[in-house]
Amino acid sequence: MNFRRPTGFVVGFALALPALLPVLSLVAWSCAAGSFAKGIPSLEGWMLLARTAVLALGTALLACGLGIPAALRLLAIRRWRFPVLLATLLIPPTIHGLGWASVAAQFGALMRTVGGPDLVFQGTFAALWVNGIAFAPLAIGLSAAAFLQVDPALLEAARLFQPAPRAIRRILLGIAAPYLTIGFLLIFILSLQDFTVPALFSVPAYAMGIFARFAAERDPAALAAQALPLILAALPLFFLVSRAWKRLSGNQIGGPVQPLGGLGLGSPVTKLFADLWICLPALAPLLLLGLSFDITRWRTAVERALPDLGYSLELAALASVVAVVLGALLARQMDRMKRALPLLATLCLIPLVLPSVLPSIGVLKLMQILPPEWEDAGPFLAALCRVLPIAAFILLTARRRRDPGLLDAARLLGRSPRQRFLRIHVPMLVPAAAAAMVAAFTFTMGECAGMILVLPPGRSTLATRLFNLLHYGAGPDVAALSTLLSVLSGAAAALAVWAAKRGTRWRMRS
Amino acid sequence: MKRFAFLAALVPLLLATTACRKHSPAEVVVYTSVDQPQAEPVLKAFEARTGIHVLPVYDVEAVKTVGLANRIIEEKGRPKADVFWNGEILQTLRLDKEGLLEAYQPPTAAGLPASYLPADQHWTAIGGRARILLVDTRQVTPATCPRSIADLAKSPIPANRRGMAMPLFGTALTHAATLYTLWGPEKAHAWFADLKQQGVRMLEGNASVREAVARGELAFGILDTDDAEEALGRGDSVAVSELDGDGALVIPGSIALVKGSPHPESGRVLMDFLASPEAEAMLGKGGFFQVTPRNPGTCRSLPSGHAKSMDVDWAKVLEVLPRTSEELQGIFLK
Repeated sequence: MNFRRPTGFVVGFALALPALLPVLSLVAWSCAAGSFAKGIPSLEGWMLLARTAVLALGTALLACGLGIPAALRLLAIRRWRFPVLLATLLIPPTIHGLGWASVAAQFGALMRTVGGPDLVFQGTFAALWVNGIAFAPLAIGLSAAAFLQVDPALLEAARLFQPAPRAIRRILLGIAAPYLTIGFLLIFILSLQDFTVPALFSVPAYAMGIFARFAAERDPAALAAQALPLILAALPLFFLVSRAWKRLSGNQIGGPVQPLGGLGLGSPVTKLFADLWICLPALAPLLLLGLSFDITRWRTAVERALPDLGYSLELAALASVVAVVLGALLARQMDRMKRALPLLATLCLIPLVLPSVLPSIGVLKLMQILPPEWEDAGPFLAALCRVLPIAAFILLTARRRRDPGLLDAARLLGRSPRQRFLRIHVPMLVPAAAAAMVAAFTFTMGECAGMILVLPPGRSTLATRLFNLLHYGAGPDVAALSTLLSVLSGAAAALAVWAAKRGTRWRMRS
Repeated sequence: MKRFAFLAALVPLLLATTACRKHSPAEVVVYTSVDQPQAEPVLKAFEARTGIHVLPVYDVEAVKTVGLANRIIEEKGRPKADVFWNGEILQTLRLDKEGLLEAYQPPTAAGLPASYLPADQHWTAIGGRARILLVDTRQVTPATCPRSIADLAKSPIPANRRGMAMPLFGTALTHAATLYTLWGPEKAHAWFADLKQQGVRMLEGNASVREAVARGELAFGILDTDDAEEALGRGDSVAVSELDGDGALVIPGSIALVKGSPHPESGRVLMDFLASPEAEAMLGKGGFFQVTPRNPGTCRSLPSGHAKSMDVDWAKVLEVLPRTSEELQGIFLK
């Protein structure tokens, strides 16, 4: 072995270490204490996992299947609406659940009044509907980010020879497929981990068992063994993402990239359907806000939450910036790898798929080794280990889409590596970096269960406060903080659109 | 290469911006599972009274964590918390069993029932909540009104109109474990299996039970008194059913000093405040505790007769907790 030149895998592993360290710490601790055998699921456990995976798959299909036409529609209408319509991105699925339960109860009461059937909004369908709608803004946002990367000239050329729907399917969806697959995978993973919405509608979920074990006993090995099957459930989808990366590496797509505009969706019915899907995620939260509007309590709730807001923003901004910077380096390394890529990418997937409590336990163990002055690094490490893989996967996809011709041309023109980096690499990665940053920011802002284990004394986040308030129902305080979150996600989306546009202009100039 | 050096330098720089924080000389760290909106005013009053800066860490019931008790166990080599202020009792007993609590009984605890003050002084119980039945007055008649927790399994009201929180977390799990000790594991297991078979609704949490009863989706459900207070305070068409038989399960809150804590003196001062009748009254008025031994209540969810509590050996409840959770997962998570 050549020790002077470490292999690509070793370098990649070193760059992925911030994401892997909490998991390694958890594994080391689990091996030292507890019993793995206790946590291995029974046949019933595997059946429950299968049902949870089907629900997560349905959620991802619903959110993405309708999110794609909605994103096309969104790009065709005025751009300023984009951040406004994505404002529900940060609202936790539980609030959507409470909103829809309230809507259904009002409807049920109305039906009873007119002597109709006794409708109960419960079960798998209700959980699927609410989760699909809760994750729709993420699906719409990621799809829109994917479509913004497509050169409209390609689409225009295709439309000369093919009808619009076929051109969209073959060219737009074909080119954007890797990004869309990542969006699908993210929603699947989020839905796989979430048990709050299924629990709200009396649907058992696999992750609920992990939390139940965490509540009743402290056996890290059993917890880890119980969580491992979640990774198995995510692997088939991840295989699709890996295939998309492989396909892109052999068939790069280039050309100047500029935003799509005036894209036709076909019939007015399709347009109406897409409009409805864009607005639907805002319906239940708006209803809750309307029902509990009380300006005095809203002001008090926001004033009390300001320190938490400041800390959450600081944490989310720091985690997303570091995730994108480290993610860019990791993606660069992964891009150079061949056979070892699937192994490293699968390792990076682990902290993302595990329920956030588990990596946080790993961080907690790490914090026992670090000096006490570093206690504030705990939440940052817990957030980074989950958002670094997301940033790396999005940026790797962007790298694989690069046009090598541009780099060759720059090299032939005698441009220095610095100039090539600033004029070609960076502008091409800006839209993807913006999407990665919004995804990382959203993940960090919304994290609650894992944060409780690592928050330094005297600190709390907006999400922990919001979930604490949810114990008292969706009242004015919850409504006020939800509005605050909506403003934040709208601002983050606006920032991302601005960055993507700037990046596009920069690229056009370059 | 320079750009990588720059990026490598950026990470520790960014970390340093959050990692360095000044601590004031007089401070106390409290880990609490009492809801943040309830705990904050009490801690603010303590700060105003003593000038000691409180650094709290809150647990979150809505995401089903008992994170803070687990956190104290993990931090035992280098404790950060001075005081554990628990909304219930089991996790405090768990820490005691692990040998993580320091003996201290606040002098302000005088006047509390003897069962609230253990002989080894490792913890002090303060106030409490009770598990009760909330009924929808539009659906339940005197003939169909449930009178015991056991009525959840046998009632003329259809099974899908009866409910409780999924007994895998929080006070619902504590309640289930208590039934395991009182009735014996076999009978309790059979009772829960019967609930599942009948199709009695198991909801996400106590708050969901409250909302389902208030909306009329459930005719009655089991929940905590603090949840019932919320619905009664809003003027919903609900009432608390008078319980006969064993009475209600009263789950006391508790406070304890963490062994080897960084600020033991400040911790004792905070314990004194939290055990005082004044703090008890604040939590009672705020709606977190309905059982307030030194402030005879006027609360709506515990009318006369409800204060009669089940006779519970908490040490035994703690012992059966893992088995209860395991068995109930087998029933409800499939």
